[in-house]
Amino acid sequence: MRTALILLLLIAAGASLGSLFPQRPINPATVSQWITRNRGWAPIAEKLGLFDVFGSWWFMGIYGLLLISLIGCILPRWRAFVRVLRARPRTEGTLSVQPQYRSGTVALTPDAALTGAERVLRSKRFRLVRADGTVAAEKGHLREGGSLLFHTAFLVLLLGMSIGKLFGFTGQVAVIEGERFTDTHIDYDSITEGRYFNEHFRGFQIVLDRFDVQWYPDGVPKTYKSSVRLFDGGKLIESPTIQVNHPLTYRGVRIYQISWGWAPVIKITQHGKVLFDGPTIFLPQQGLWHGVAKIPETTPLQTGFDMSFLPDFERDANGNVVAGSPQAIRPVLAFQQYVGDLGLTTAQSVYELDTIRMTPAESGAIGMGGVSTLPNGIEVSLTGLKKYSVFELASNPGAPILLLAAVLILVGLIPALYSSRRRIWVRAAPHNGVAHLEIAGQAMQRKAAFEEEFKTFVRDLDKDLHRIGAPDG
Amino acid sequence: MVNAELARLSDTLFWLALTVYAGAMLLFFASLAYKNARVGSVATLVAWGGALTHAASIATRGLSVQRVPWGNMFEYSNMLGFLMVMTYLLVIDRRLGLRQVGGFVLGGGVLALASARLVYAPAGPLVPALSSYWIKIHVIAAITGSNLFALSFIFTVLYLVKDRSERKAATAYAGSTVGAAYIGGTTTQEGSPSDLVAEEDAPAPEGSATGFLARFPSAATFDTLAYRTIQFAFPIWTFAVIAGAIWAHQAWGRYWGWDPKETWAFITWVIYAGYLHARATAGWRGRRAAAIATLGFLSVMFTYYAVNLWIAGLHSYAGVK
Ligand code: HEM
Repeated sequence: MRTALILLLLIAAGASLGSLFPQRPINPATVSQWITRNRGWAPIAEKLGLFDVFGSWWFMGIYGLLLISLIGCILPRWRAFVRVLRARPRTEGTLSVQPQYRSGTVALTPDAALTGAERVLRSKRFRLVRADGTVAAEKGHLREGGSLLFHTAFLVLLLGMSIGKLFGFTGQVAVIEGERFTDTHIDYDSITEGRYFNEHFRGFQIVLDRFDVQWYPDGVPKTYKSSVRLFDGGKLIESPTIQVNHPLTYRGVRIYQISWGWAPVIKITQHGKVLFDGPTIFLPQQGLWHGVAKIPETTPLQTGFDMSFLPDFERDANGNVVAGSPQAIRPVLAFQQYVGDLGLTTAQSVYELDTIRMTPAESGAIGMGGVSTLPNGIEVSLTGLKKYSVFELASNPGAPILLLAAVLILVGLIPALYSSRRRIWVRAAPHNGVAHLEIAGQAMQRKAAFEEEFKTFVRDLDKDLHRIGAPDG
Repeated sequence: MVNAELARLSDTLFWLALTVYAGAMLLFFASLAYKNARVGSVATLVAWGGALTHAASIATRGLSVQRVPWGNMFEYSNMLGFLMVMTYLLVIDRRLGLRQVGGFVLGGGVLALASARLVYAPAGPLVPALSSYWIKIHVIAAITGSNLFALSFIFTVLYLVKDRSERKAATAYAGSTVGAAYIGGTTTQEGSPSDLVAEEDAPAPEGSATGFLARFPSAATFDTLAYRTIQFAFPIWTFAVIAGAIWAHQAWGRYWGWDPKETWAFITWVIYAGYLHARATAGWRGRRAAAIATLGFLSVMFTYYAVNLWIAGLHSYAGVK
């Protein structure tokens, strides 16, 4: 089966491209950077699907060929295997041509000698048949059986993968402390649905009561913990905590702790009128936290704030601002005000400010409880600090099948690699009132080990029959 | 929290173990060069001493941080070196009686420890993503698999060296009387691990022109050993990949995402599956099989080092700054 070998090596080569080029499904931003840096190559790489190797037509192609070759290989093998299992071991013609061979006489009737041989072979778990003055024994079908199981398990694996892809979904959502999230399409920040998922949302609700993060003294995070309440149909179901490595499972949906961040509570007023008030999600960006506020209601022009948040404001010896500990010890909010047209008529990210039609105005920084007064009666204040937690919700109905496939792969692999198929024959013929014995053996694999096994068998048979006489000739 | 005293003790024992391994390696090579079995026995004793020291170093590291001592790249490499030496002592030496291989495996152990030191991370706790019992299972399976692949690579290299000398001997005997000397010469030309002997030991005495290779098992034996080792390693690696997928399912909400580490673990797995196919179904052995085995080991190294050091991904918490 040289085809399988070539296809396996091709898959390996293809997969390596997937780790050398940035992959769009994993990291779209890196792909864009790569494309701007390599303008000449980018169109070719794009055509060849190098930014999505594992979804590219050629990877699927190799994969498909491998599957076809796999099916084409295991179907006849299963058929042959069943036939071999049904068939009894054959009593071979001339035994002396076999790789292992001994002969001798024993002071027993041929019948008694063969019964002894049967006894010894059975104790060694050989399958055997006795006919025409010969015992034919065979062992090691587990090898082919295991190999077939192992290879067939790949089809099970494929089935599990497909079911997960077609019927499952994953979605991410950021929830601020004290806020609520409902398992419906619009509440997710991003979502990937299988073709046959069919909007099958459960509609349960999650309220994030608290998010706790603990640090080791050196600033390395120790635990992330979301304390939530889960409601379904308006009833409180449970109040669990969700931690990394400890997802919550509810109605076939697993809810994972993915990441977290700061949500400073920002209040913006103009002439005393509250235009913006609430916790705002800040995203991690180069050691700082970055967020925006868009206030179209301000007059005479619309206002936008590009903000940075430092949980622990410190200055180094030169007076430069540095981020201290990751904990909120001396929180500071720094902002840059822009005025002009926010451009809200076109779709845009809530986490970015589109400043093309805006001009920079004031900038400033405030601490907890601080207020900054800007021209036109605008006031910015930092009134509180919350955290948000990012959850991933996923349902994968293929998972149990994948687990089954994994178990079959391992269970099949071990006998496929470590057992070997071998045969032993014992023939007895009358010879001057005693039995003339011929013992022969053959192994398909692990021939050296079989040589030892054969010797041991002859010794055990010898013991059972109370000595085989000296070989005659 | 971190027990600084134990951590310091662990570091001291680490350096001691590394030194002792290097000493054992030199002794093994000396015993090869001088054909002195007694030196080989001493080398084995020294290697045992190194392994015990190393075990103590790993244990104190684990105790100092109250967790399994395989949580960052320094600790993986360190553990890899330990498993290599232990596999040599318990299996290759005691069960197979192949003491000739000792210097090469100890050399591999020294390399593993030295490379560990290059990515040293002080004793510390684990980030949240790593505090799972799957780390214990997945990582130790991956290290055990890598260890066996590394040993199979040593066998593969020894096969290639021995095979070459057998071929040369065959042609040399046919052509001239300097065949034996020629065999000794080839070992230093090849850039194979065996030229460590030539560099680090005094010139071999008279008569060693036939080379220590003469005392090595046949090329065919090494070929089979490499095969057996890969057969043994393959299910362990398969298990490691599966355990990793289960862990990813627990921690990240997906069992497979073609993250660079996952991709390379997969590539390694497929190459060794190719190796097993080549031997079982295409009947490849010898040099052609060795080519795939070499490719496989390069992929192991890439999975292990390159991915952690160059390519970021979800797995990029190897503790390397
Ligand atoms: C794509 C199609 C494939 C075909 C046609 C195929 C075919 C075969 C055949 C005919 C054997 C011989 C069994 C024997 O001699 O005992 C075999 C063995 C094996 N295959 Fe595959 N195989 C395929 C895919 C795979 C895959 C994807 C893997 C794993 C990554 C794999 C791993 C193995 C292993 C480990 C063995 C056992 C080798 C041994 O007996 O030492 N195969 N395969």
